[in-house]
Amino acid sequence: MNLFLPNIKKFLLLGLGVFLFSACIDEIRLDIDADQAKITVDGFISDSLRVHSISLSNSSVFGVGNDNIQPPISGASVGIRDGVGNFFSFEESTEAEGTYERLMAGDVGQTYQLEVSLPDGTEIRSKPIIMPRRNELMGIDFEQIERTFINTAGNVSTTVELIVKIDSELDSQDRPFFRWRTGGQFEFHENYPMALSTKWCYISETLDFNQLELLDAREIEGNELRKKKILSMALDSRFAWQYCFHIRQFSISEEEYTYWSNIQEILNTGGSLFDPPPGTVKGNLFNPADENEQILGFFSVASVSYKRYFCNPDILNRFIDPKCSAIPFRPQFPECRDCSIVLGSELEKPDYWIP
Amino acid sequence: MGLYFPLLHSQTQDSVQYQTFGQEESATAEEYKLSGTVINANTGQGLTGVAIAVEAISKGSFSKSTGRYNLKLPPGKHFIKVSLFGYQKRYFEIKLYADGNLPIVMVPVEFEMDEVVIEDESASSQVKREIGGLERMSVLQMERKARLLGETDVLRSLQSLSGVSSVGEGASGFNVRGGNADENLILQDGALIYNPTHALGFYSLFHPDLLSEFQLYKGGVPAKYGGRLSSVLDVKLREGDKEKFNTKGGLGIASSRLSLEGPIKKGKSSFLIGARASYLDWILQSSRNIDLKKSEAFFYDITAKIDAQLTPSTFAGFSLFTSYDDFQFAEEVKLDYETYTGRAYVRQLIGKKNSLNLDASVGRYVSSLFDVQGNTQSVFETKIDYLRFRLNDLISFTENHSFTFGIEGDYSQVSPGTLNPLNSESQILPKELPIEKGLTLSAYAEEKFAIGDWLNVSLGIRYSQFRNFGPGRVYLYEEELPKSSFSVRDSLIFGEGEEIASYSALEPRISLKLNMGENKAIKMGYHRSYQFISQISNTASAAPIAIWQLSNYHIEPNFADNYSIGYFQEFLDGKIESSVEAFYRDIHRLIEYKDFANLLLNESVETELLVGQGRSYGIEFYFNKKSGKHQFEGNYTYSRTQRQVEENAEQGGINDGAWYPSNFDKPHILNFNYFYQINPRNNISVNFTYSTGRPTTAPVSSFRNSNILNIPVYSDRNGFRIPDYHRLDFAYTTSFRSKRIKRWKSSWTFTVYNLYGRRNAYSVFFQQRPSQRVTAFRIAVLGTVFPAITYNFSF
Repeated sequence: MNLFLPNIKKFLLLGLGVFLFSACIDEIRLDIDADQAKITVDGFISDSLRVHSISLSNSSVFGVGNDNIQPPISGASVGIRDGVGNFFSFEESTEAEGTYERLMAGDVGQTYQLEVSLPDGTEIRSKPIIMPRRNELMGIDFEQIERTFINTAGNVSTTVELIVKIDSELDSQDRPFFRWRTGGQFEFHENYPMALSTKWCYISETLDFNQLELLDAREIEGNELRKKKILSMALDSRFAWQYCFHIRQFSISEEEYTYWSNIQEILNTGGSLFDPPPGTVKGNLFNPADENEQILGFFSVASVSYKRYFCNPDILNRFIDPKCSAIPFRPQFPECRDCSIVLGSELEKPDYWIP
Repeated sequence: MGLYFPLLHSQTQDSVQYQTFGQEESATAEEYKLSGTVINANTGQGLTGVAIAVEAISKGSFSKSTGRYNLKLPPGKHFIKVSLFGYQKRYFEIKLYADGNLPIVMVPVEFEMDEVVIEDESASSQVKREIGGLERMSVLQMERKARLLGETDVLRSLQSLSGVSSVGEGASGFNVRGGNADENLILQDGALIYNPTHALGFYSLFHPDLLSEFQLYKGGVPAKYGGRLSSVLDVKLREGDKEKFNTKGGLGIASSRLSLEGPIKKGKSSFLIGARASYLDWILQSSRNIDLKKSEAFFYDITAKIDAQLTPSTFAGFSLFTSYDDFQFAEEVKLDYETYTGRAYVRQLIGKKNSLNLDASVGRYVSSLFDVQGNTQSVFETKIDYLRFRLNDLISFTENHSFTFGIEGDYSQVSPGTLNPLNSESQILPKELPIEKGLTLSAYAEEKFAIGDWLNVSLGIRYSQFRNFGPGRVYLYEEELPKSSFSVRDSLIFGEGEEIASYSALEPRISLKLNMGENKAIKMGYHRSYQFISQISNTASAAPIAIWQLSNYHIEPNFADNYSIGYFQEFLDGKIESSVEAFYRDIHRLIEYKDFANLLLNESVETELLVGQGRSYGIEFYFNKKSGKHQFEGNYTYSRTQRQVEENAEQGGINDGAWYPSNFDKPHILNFNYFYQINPRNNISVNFTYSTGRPTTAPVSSFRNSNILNIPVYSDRNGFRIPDYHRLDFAYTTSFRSKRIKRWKSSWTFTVYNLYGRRNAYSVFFQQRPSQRVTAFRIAVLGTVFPAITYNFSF
């Protein structure tokens, strides 16, 4: 009943909130022993024709080297076998060590299994997974919510939050399990006092780092999903000209849904009295020679419905102040003189961009 | 019968009563026996632990559990003082020239701490009690314990006792000698309470002004109690004043309370009614967080009780209780939980030695979680209803020999969960899990007797038969495979009233008290207990919406064997008492949970459970200087509580089948209380508590998957501990009497909770910053000094 997990957290927050004026957070020392590195697989194929990739690495071990780096596993043999015996071999990327790629598209209803041979002879397999039927995205809706807060100076301040909601079809036979990923791209106009020439950039960003949006449609009535919230973000200068949402709706297996739900639970764990004990998230990967060996990660087989939706001040019916201004005495930002310095920035207008 | 009640209204409580037994001329023996029964004037029940003292010749005795007492005195005139904490003292001047029978009626008093230096008398004497592991605490003693926001609180006071702990600040419930919170039988005036907390665990449900005392059986549990493994908390409401009307109340910064009492028919019947309500919203409003400003937190409770003496030998009454908690977080989620109980009793005295008691109670606990946003607006509700009755007969053959037997029935109906959309825009599918029904029928008997002056024996036996009955569906699973939706091989359908599962339980209860003179005793106890209903929760402290699960086809009742032995000694005529007590508990068929168990709205919840065993053991040291202006009380407990879930074909294990600490394993717990009665109107109390930090599970590595960075990989369960907990509290009370209104009495209590502002960890979480090691952070909820002021009044 994952529908309720985040909500349970909130009322517990409220319990804490009653005593919030005394609450404080500080760092403490716990002697945590280093674990052994474990093999990690991050793999995904879908029914859309594109370059799919499978990454192999070792987990990062706290207290050993740089905790944030997962050492890649290079030189492995990686492939996917379908239910009728076809084998799709993946080649290691020359640009990203430990990442294996292939242009392919899966077929809905077909079974796929990952097969990996590591340089040390270790074999890794995934359980066979059937590619679920695609459920098409049908529409998008935006809601604006004004939120007031007390800033660090002690003054009441207001921000506007944009809630992104989608509509989708729901398979009436096999109730789907969904996972959503969202990215964005926005138009950025350089401007600064006494500017002689300025250019426009198109900046891409990932909107859902460390966020999971999941749904078990067995809990939903009807053949249509209406106004499902998949994202909330600040309505700021990124929307001053034109913003494009890239929304991918993955129809995934029940096992994958459970896997991501468990990860969501772990990410929500705050160690409080009302948290369940954190557990080991088991994926669908195993070593056939030693089934007790824990292989981290998941090999995902999903069908995807992809849509782009544009959003701008006209749609939102709201004036949004651009970040860059030619007016002196207003804050000036380096990217207002050269927008190409922003990560994910392109000067070429995408061919799908609305003029 | 006639011996008791002609005295009832003729005895003036403050004056001396005179009585002569036999003729002086005929007195030839060196000693004569004075005996009788001490009873409560309101209920007719025998009173235990009443001190009958002849101070001039340093002779005395205490009444037994039946109220009987026996005292050998030389012939002549004696001045007798009769006292029991919480009752008006009685004085008799007797002339004893033959064996005599002196019935004594004690009238309960309302405690008025501004009047006297209260001395904790024999009623709470550990040496005199017949069983080990029994704790008693009056309201007055509770007022000396730690008080959050100035509130006198049963559960917080309970945690100052040896062997009692909680998972942490704000935990819902308490743990006794290593038991789970749901393993405590909690009774208020005989009615069963499923959730004893308000405000998500920060307050207890019990109105302090309406209580007389509570008793906690943590060691030897009498045969009349059953159904829980760990302990019995019996919270007793007092009876309303049968003579005059009284009002009592208090105004605090978080809640206020009011109670009224008085006679319905003077001397024969009384009422008592009280209510409490919180106003925590102002605290939320003072927050800098806008979501909290839009939130609500509120609770109230109402208690009402009527007691009546129908005939000289018949007593009856009933009580009603309701409580309600409501929380809403911003405009997103809302939680309610409610408790309702009703209880009626009839007590019939049959002759001088027999009393027949009939109790019946009904109750309901319901919790609702509302999702109030978006297209998932819905309400999830769980509910438990019960109906209980108990008929018991107590026969007192002699002062030292009594026999109790009785029968008990408990019908429970559990609704494990319903989910309903809140409006037409919600896309939530309604869902309802089948209602579960269980009936427990029990019979019990207990005999108490003495062998000479050196040994008191209590032998009890309790037999219970539990039935889970339909309608219902039971899934059958492939043998030798873990229970899951993939291993279902068949299902059984049961009709209305058809038996789904049945279990019987035989529970022996033995207590021995070896008297080593007046002031020393060794007590030993063993009891086995079964539990047919458990709270299904895999969190360290169960949330209010956690479901209660009856034993059924797949879930067998768990049971425990409890052993204890202790040495008790008093010094300085009982002014100082001390004890050391060791215990061991073996828990069988302990329920544990799979990782990421899905426990809500799960029709086959057995697929999420693991079965293991538990053990807890420890030693408790206790010291109490309980009289005088300066009073000290302290205890230290060393204990361990551990779990083991072994891996087999039907289930995976936890921590490779090794023993691991439970969530509330706190090896060292120290409590200390100092009370100073400055003068009759002013007093100070100071409390200190220390405990080892509770176990937790920490991450040891991490990995990235898709857009999720740093997914933690955790250590063995409960492989680490959060920092140790300690806290110092202070309270000062000053009392006043109104010169204009004679009956008006009031007091101000200033309390400081967490005097030195210790940031005790409520929770510990882990974060990994870029290019840095994982770091542990603690959230301290009550992490600063908490001053409060409370105004109390009565008239």
